[in-house]
Amino acid sequence: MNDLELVERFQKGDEAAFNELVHRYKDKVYWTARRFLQDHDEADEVVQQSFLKAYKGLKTFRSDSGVFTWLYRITVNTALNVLRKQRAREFLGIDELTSESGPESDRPDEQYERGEEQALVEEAIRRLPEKQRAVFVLRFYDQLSYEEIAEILNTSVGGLKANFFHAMRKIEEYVKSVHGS
Amino acid sequence: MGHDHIEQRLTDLVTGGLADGEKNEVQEHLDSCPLCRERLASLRKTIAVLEQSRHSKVPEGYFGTILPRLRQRIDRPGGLRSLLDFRWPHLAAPIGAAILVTGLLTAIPSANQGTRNLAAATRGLEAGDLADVYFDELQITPLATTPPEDLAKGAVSGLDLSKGLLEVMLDENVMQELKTVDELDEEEIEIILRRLETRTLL
Repeated sequence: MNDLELVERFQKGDEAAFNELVHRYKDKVYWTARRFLQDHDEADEVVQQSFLKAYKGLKTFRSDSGVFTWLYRITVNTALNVLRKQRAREFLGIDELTSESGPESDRPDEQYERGEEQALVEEAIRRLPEKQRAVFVLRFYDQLSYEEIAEILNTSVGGLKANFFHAMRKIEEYVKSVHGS
Repeated sequence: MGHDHIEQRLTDLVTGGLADGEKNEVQEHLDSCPLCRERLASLRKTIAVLEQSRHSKVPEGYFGTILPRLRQRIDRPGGLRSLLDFRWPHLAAPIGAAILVTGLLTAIPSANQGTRNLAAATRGLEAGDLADVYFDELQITPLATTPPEDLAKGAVSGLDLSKGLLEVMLDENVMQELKTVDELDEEEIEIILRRLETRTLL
């Protein structure tokens, strides 16, 4: 059964159809969120929120775009909101008061466990502006085409190519600055 | 083809984003350009480092827990399933907005945070997210910085809390980023109230 058939069944009241959609896309949604936020717990919350939003939105979903593209858009927007909330928290000084553990990159023992290279990449990605981060994750990790990303982020292919290029360049520069040339 | 033009294409070349015709064009340039070959080698090193990051660890059995937890949030009494069929009373909108605005007012940093720009920090946030930031702060900050309860109650009962009043109290630039009773739509109010369900402020 394809995605749209599942949506139709869900709209007619079949809850199992929604479960099947979750089963199909949970891995992709998680990894997109994880690579975007570089943190398992935050990625997990994005997964939950994204599927809750999808549950609500599917009731009136129209097949203008594929379910997959639509779900990606929800995930990216939800992850973006988490990033913006982090910014607001940092501004309000909340994290300084409470984050004994903090984001993964702040914990040297975990950095060691995860390996230097991985910690290096995570930090490089964390330093990217949000749009470049989104394009980088969808293009490099999820290996989506520029056309698919353009549909998800509602932007032009030309702009995406420039964003991806600049993201790669920044990551390369950061890696070099740590490793040495 | 010049260096500037080729550099973007090198990124696409190593990540598989070029069509065959474009690949040939880039390859022709590379054959005659040591500088671009050097750039390509450097880029490939970075890609090799990035490839290693594809395999982040996930807690064992994690993916099996996603659906049960999701269903719990959907199916519980007062969960999403029941909320989808519920219509909030008309007064819920101004009450919810007043709570949100009060939260924002009391969460605005004091002078020790200098000239940092609240507007920039809150730009792009949805109403529900603003509410979350505030209520998270209520739960985790020391009591000394938590807004007095009577202030919150006062604002909730003050349904005439208007944009004009807020404009007097807030910097104009900050005001542009905030949503008031007039600006919040039904869905945003619903989000805020749903989140408030689990809070104890009221």
